[in-house]
Amino acid sequence: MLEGDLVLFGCLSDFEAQLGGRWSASVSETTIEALLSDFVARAPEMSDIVNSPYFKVAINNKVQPKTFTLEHGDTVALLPPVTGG
Amino acid sequence: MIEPNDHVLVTDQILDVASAYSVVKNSVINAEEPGAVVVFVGLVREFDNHLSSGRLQILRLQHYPELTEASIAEVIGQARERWVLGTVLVQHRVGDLRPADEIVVVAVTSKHRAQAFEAARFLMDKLKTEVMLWKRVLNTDEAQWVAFKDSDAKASSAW
Repeated sequence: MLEGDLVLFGCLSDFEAQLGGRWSASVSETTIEALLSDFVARAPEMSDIVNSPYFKVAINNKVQPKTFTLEHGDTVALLPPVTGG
Repeated sequence: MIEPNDHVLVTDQILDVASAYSVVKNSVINAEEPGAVVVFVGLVREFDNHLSSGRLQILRLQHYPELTEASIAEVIGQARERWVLGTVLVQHRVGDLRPADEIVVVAVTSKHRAQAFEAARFLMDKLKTEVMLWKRVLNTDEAQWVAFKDSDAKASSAW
């Protein structure tokens, strides 16, 4: 069982109630991509955001590709397309 | 990579444009070949089509504290790879802003104005697509996240 903190930014913070503040996976190894699939299954409205080419994921405060393998205790931050400036 | 004389600030305090200009102007004076300073200031617009009334009272800027300044520095580094620049300053507000407040100040110095203008435009285009900031518009009746604009994506990817 893998788990860690989950941080949601921007419009994705609207999904706090559905996703909570933790991520978990009942497997010995998982990737960002697999985790995102699980999130979208639980909150299908997230799909467009997660599939945007400007969507990013940071692991322990560093942006990583979707193929990145998660470790127990990693902090996952979901970063929707930004709207600053 | 940013240079030691570059300035990056993310703050919930009011941006002081005059002070920001002084910083970059002094760096120009101290440089061997002063030439141009371009300063861009972004302001909060009162009218916003994300709200049904069209009028916002508060623009709330959320950011990712651990990455915001680093992502700004990365964009400055990209600008430095394209143009020969003197000092680059980027200051961005976070927290609650009101109409007409300064959201962002970008200042660039270079030997020639064309480089400074281009670099300032590049920095703004990239700030809108690469820096960890998210806008939410609010009034007494509703609150909406600001949607990512295709026009911003096109402007950024055109470089």
